[in-house]
Amino acid sequence: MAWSVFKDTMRFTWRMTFIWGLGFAAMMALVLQLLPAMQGLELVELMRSLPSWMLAATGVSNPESMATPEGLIALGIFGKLALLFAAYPVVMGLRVTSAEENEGMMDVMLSLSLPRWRVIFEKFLAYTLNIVILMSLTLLGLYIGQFGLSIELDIVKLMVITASVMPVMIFLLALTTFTGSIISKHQLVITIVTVYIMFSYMIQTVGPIVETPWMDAIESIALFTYYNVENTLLNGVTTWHVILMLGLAVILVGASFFNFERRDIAV
Amino acid sequence: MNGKIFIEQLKQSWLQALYWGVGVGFLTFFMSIIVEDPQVLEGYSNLIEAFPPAILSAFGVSDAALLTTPEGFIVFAGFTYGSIILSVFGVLAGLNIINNDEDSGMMNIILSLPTPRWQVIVERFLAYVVIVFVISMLLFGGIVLGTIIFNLEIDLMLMFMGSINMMPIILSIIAVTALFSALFSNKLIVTGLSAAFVLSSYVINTLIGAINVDEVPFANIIGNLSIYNYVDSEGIIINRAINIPNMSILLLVAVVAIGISVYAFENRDISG
Repeated sequence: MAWSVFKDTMRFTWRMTFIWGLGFAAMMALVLQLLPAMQGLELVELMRSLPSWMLAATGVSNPESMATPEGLIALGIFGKLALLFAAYPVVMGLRVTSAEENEGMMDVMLSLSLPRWRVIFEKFLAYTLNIVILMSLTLLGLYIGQFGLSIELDIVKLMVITASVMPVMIFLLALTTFTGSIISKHQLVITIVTVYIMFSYMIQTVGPIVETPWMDAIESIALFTYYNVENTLLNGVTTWHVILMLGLAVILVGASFFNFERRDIAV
Repeated sequence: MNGKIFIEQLKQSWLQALYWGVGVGFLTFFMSIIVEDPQVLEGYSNLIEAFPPAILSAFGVSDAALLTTPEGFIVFAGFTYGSIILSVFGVLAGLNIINNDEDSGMMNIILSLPTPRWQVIVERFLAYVVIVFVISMLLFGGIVLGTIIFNLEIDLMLMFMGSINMMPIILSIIAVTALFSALFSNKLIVTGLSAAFVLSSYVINTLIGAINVDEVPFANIIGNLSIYNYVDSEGIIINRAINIPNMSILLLVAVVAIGISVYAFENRDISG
């Protein structure tokens, strides 16, 4: 039956996505409500009043990004919370093949008149839709969180920064799917993807400090280079980052079809 | 037989421990490569010193001057991320104590042997104490290797203390995951609760670190609920000693969680 895997996946996962979405929405609303108590806020007004040459002299590289409440939130908190957004697509990516293979359900599923590529393709689409739903709820929480705040805030900018994590999440979903398609051991898949995420997260902090060609090369393969909060804050969404992430996701899903068609299923 | 499950667990998990240990060891070795270039550390030092303290606090850096030393940099970048990476290991290891075997139907077979239930939990947890120690030493080994290769002047005793300081948080995560496994047999619920425990601890720690706690009611109390609040790797550099009270709190959490796990597991049916 057409789209049966897609529909089934949505039926089984919408509740979980809704719970994650509510959690993320509450977290975002809480972050905004805590803004008046945030450390460094008192310096925002001071920074705004200083001429740019004086700010540059204090070592603030991008005064525009720092000297706003949204800049402080984005750089101080959103950057760190990127890890949470990375957790969801990994959990979902594991369910494309790895979790069911681990539970011994994949054999049963593949005994149906269903080509293997359709399992991956339809599940991937369903989980991508889940990411969109999750982020919509998160953005809703962010929007609601601004009410009652005494501080002027560019909420659209914060929403754009938050939404810009979506291509990275879709890429991670594809990467986890791909890893699960070549390795049948569930825990090994989790370990590999976790190490990559944490390595990327660490490079996000350490990378800008080290200005060497080899670090630039490492940064280019690190995931969070393509979720650059500061850059999005100053210049908006970088189109080629979005295209790269989604393009790589398509390639990885294609490679997953190829791998999964050609290997034995663990029982 | 006493110790049988302990040895069996070590046999089953040593390879896993080696992978994780080499992974975090590589992480700290990588930090050594970075601090090996004095220009990098100087640039980092200039950057840190230029920021007002309040801004640094908002970014979770409390004592900037100390973090511009090689030891401080390794602690800030290596141990902080190391503890987050090993939290994932903690959840996976915690699932191995009860849940994975129950989920695969193996627990029935294990419990049909003349082995009391408490022994399964306690001996497996003790095996993970050894495994976590090995991983911590491999993490420390990464620093030692970097120090030897790049001829760095690093206080290895501080780094050793930093590595040991990582153990209690991982053990407490293992124990709490084991507790969820003892209370619920459904793997999805156990994994979800364990992940929620780790993630909410991380979020609380991030938020509390960025705000003035005096301005928000109960912020201090809520902050104390996060397990990451007790890692305090920075404190080792500042005080040149392990924070024993913090370590004790995490170990107490682990012991209490294992105690409750034993009680809960003794009093419920095994699925499968």
